[in-house]
Amino acid sequence: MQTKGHYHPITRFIDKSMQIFEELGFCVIEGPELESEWYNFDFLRVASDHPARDVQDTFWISGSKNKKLNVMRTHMTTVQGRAIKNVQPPCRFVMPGRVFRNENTDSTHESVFYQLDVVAIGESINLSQMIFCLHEFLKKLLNKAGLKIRLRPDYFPFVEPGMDIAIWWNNKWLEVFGAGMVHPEVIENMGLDPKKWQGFAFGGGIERLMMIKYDIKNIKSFLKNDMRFNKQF
Amino acid sequence: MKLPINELKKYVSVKHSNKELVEIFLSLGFEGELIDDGIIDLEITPNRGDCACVLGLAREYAAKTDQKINFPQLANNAQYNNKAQIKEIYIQDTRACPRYTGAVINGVKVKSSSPTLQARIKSFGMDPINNVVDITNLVMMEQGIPMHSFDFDLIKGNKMTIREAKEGETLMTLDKKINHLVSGVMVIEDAGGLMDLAGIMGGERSSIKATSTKILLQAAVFDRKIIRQTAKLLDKNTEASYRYERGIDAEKTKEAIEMAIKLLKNECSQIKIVEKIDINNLSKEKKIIEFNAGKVKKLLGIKIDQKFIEKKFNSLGIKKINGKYKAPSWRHDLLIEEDLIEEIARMFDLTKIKPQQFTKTNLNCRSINKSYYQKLKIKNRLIEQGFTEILSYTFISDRDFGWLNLDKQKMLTPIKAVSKEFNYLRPSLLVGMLKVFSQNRWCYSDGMKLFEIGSVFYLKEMSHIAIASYTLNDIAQYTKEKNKIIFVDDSHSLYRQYNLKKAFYFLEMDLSIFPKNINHNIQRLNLTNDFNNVSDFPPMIRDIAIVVDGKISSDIIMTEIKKADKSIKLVEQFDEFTSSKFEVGKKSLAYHLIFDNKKRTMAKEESDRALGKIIEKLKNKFQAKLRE
Repeated sequence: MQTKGHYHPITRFIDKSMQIFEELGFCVIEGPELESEWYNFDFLRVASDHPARDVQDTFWISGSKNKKLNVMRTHMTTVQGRAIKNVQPPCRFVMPGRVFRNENTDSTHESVFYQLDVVAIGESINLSQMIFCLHEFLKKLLNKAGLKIRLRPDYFPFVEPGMDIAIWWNNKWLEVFGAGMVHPEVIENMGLDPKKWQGFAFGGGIERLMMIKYDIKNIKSFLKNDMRFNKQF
Repeated sequence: MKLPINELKKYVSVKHSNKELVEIFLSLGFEGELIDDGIIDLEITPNRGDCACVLGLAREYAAKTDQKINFPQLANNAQYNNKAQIKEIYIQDTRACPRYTGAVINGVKVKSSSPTLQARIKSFGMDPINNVVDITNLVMMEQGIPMHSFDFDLIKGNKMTIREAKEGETLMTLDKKINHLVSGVMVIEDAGGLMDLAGIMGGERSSIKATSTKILLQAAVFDRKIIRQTAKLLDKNTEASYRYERGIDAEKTKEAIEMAIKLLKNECSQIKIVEKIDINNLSKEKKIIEFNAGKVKKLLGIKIDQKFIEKKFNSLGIKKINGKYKAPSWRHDLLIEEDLIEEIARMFDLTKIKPQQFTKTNLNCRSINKSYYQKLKIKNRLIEQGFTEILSYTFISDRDFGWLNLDKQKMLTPIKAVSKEFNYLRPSLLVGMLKVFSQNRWCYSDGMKLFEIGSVFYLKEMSHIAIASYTLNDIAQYTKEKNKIIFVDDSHSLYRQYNLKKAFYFLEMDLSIFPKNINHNIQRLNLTNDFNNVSDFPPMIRDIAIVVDGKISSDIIMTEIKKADKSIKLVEQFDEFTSSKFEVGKKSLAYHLIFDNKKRTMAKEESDRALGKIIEKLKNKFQAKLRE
């Protein structure tokens, strides 16, 4: 007899998420893990002296044949620029993938992990619609009808207004996403006129959401590939 | 930033409980927690340097609660010379130091601060040092203006020069450390040499001593970028550099000096002001922001009352000038219309914005990037054929590389990776796979059919697939070139290194040439419901085979087995057949059962007990018979 194998939990999680976003009209798009400084930082207004660019946080890479590709992407927001280059708005993209941080790790921080990012550009796409998408996604994903979501102001250079999103889970607020309206300079970097186009974007770590949903204790479980772990999914 | 609520009360009337205050600051974008004695520890985002002081946070609270700030006004007799009389202050580049405000004070007696002042200093989480230093620290925490005090008599010659450092110069700072300076760093010099690391930390030589009587208080404005660069170049981050980097309120340096003088009078009543100096080269250019109220609804999707907007702008210090707006001097983050809309949203409270239907439109952009669906289709097929997916690290160590026998010139290398295991980007998926075989030596052979799809790096990034199994037949069907299949046995250099128990077969290729199954429909995935955390200790594997009624589904049996004992982590079926040896209508089912214990390696006796429970349950529930 042929017993079926098991999808990695991250694959399951991403595909479930993609289905929810497809229903909201988003298209799935991927990008390279080895990126240029432009897409990873400049395009998103991360200033040249921003601490995130330091070697302590970013894997700078030498040896690439294309010298411009010299950084392991630090977030999936990077793919925004590549996605929009090829289409005319209005457009909606969801971008899942692997990201990298050159940091010390512990049970909740990994140097290699997954994120998903979302961007919607149109002439009148607004923050209230973003909140709708967030509710839809988190409710369906976590399978919880009355899920409570909290928004509070936060700062990311590529959105304005910027905010973070927390969910009420096991009697406390847990931050799950960064979000906001795409900064007009980023719209301009996309090659679009910010007077005409606007949009929202949000994104965050996949493992973190899965750890919440399944009460997984250690983020390192995901790339350890203990068959006791992988085969439960 | 530690905010003592008693200090907040000096500027605004606080109408909320401490707990409510935490909530209010959170809604304004400052996450915090109440630590002991009425102090809130608040996180300040990098764009809000103005809130790294009590005054800034008081302004936020006042705007939220529609109050006015009680800010001490400058005394009428606050006479400041725009050219220093008793000692020349020469600024080489006024863009680097656009303003220098100071006061020379005589008759100071350096001693421990009064108990009141000490208590205030401690409430900010700082250690009291002496009255002069405590006062400069307190003013910084209150008003956000970094201050420094010099022993005036220890400043040599009759001129202070603020200039860029030269390569090779050194300066001993207050922390008794010798700093080796480079260009791009700003310093203050007197006739005796360098005396201050501008905007970061004072020099040891001219610092306040127990014997100091005449002092120079400094409240200067330094360029944000230069301070950031200096702090980075010298790896010296201080409370002062933190505030300068984020931008201070350049228009309030006199207020800082006045507050310091007032506090100093309380500590030593004999003081005499010798001279007050204010060399002001701030640019007069004012940043004007266009703002159209219609944009608020367009961006946020909700209608906010115009009166509310005007009221909040006013209380935030955002002034209306000829239909446009001007940000206050302390807000370096307000530059464009969207920034002002964020202010409205913060004051309105983001949590009050309701979701608005976002309908699906047919944007037809799926065609631009099919890679996601192609990968899923390949995964679908491999899962059907019994392969389990793994995801492994993108990095390999120096040792791994040594055994792979590849060209170092073509490897991609992270610069200064934190982990020693991260010397190279993986050039293939082999090392990751080896680690998984090593990690799962306990696992039964038929459970180790594995695959990974991921990026590898050799000169450039490429998308690869790797499949592996203990059995050649499992993977031979995926390639016509049988010589591409690697047999990883004890002759392989990595085999012993990863302490493998048994040789396995491994095949890796570019994802684009992996055989496609054209007729296959894409199968979308669901999330499973249950998960049990796995022990860090090795598991115990037991196999059982039972004979049951042919109509009973194996899934139901597996669910029951899982529920029988909490030490059971995993149940995998490996066999199902009927035989003439059984009673009519019966079938045989066989399972691998995996047990583990959170605190120790699972002992056989322990698994015996759990297994006993399972067998008992299967007998009672399904009339199952154990097959020997």
